[in-house]
Amino acid sequence: MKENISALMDDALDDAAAHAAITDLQADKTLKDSWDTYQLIGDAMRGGGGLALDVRREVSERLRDEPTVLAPARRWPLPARKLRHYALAASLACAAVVGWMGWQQDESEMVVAKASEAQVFSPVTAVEAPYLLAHQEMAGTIDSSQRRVAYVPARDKAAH
Amino acid sequence: MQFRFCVFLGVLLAPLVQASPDDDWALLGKAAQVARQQALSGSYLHQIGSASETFRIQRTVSKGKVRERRVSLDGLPREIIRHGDVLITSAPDEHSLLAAKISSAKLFPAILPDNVAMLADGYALSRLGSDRVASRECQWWQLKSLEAGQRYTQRVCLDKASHLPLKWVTLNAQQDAVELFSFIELDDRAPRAKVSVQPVYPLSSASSASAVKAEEGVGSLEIKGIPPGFRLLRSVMRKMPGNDGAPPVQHRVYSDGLAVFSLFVEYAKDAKPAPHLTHGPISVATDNEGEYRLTLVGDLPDAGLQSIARHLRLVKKS
Repeated sequence: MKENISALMDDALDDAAAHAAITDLQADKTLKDSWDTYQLIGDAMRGGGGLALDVRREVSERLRDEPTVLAPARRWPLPARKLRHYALAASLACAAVVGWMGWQQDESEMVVAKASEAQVFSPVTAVEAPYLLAHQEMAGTIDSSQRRVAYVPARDKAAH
Repeated sequence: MQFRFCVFLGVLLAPLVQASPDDDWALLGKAAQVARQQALSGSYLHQIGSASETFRIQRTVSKGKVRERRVSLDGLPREIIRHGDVLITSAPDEHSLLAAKISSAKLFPAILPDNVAMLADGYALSRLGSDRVASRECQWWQLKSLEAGQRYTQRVCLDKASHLPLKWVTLNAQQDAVELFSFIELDDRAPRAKVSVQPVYPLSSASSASAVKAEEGVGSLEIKGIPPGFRLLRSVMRKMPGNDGAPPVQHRVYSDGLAVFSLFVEYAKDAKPAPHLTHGPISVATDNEGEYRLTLVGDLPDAGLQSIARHLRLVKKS
């Protein structure tokens, strides 16, 4: 019988045979299911133009039947003593790291003068600051491992 | 459980354990040597307060003899050449030549003295955090005065691989930077081209480091009360610049290895008013001791220099 159903789908039956096949479809539920299945397969192979699956109602019903979970199940029960040890270790670690970072930050912090007030260096003259010039002249001739004097920015030349 | 906890705690506290002080000073000594002898080329920034300048430096070492040339890239044109123990300053005019001589007084990165052990009399050495300078990882070290506020705090960031000083900061009591040196870019390989030690400017001045020695016994006065850690470098009777008609002044220079100050001793009636100059690292202090005027000039905090001036005593030699 299924051959006739398949031939009916392919439009390969004459009118009398087609009429008989349709009659059989209406009378036999198994044949009707086969017809529906063939039609579905055909729709899918043709690009799904006529394929329509509406499962929203079924999904909603299943969701409604699912139980509501308010808390996850406890997997690894820990003794209270062990928990206290972990808490203590974590606190010490946190304090050590924060303290270390704070100490490093404080000691390494460098303050650099504002670049917006940039000046040029210029040596002072004997008239402006004879003691400073004498100091720089003398210190500038000292052994290189001891040599150490400094420039004075032009704006800060000494005034009597 | 207890054992594992102790191991865990030990791992946590391990970074807090410091190396021994002797090791730290030895490392600083290594840094002083590298700073003077390491072949390199690069440029660095020098900043005092809000004023700054940059230098280009090239250095090679052949058979222990240093050939070094540094050229100012901005400000007054000048160059400073080091060839073994000879130091040459060169500039196109007298004013720039004076600037070159002053620049030669602090030849970054060679700021530490050869004998860093002498610093232990006045400074406490401690290790600080890590940093990055001129694209290199470095470790900060601090030299802090044993007497609070009497000397500047010095911080130096040493290259973690070579111990070359990459950055040097002088801090006052408020932790503000009064002076700074810092490499901008650095190549610690020997320059490909030979470093010329011939001055390019018409004016030049040469001095030999080995020719300088402290001249003891100059003048009729003995100085008492110099702070611990400072030693006499030079002592001369000299005319003051710009005042050739005045009587000679006793000029002494003291250093603790980092800080340098001059002491001028003269009759009070002949002394010129000393300028008040505290900007940057240089301070000036004056005090009268009997018929004499003491004038101190140096790169120490104002409070430190004033304190030294107050404690100095003059004793006439018999």
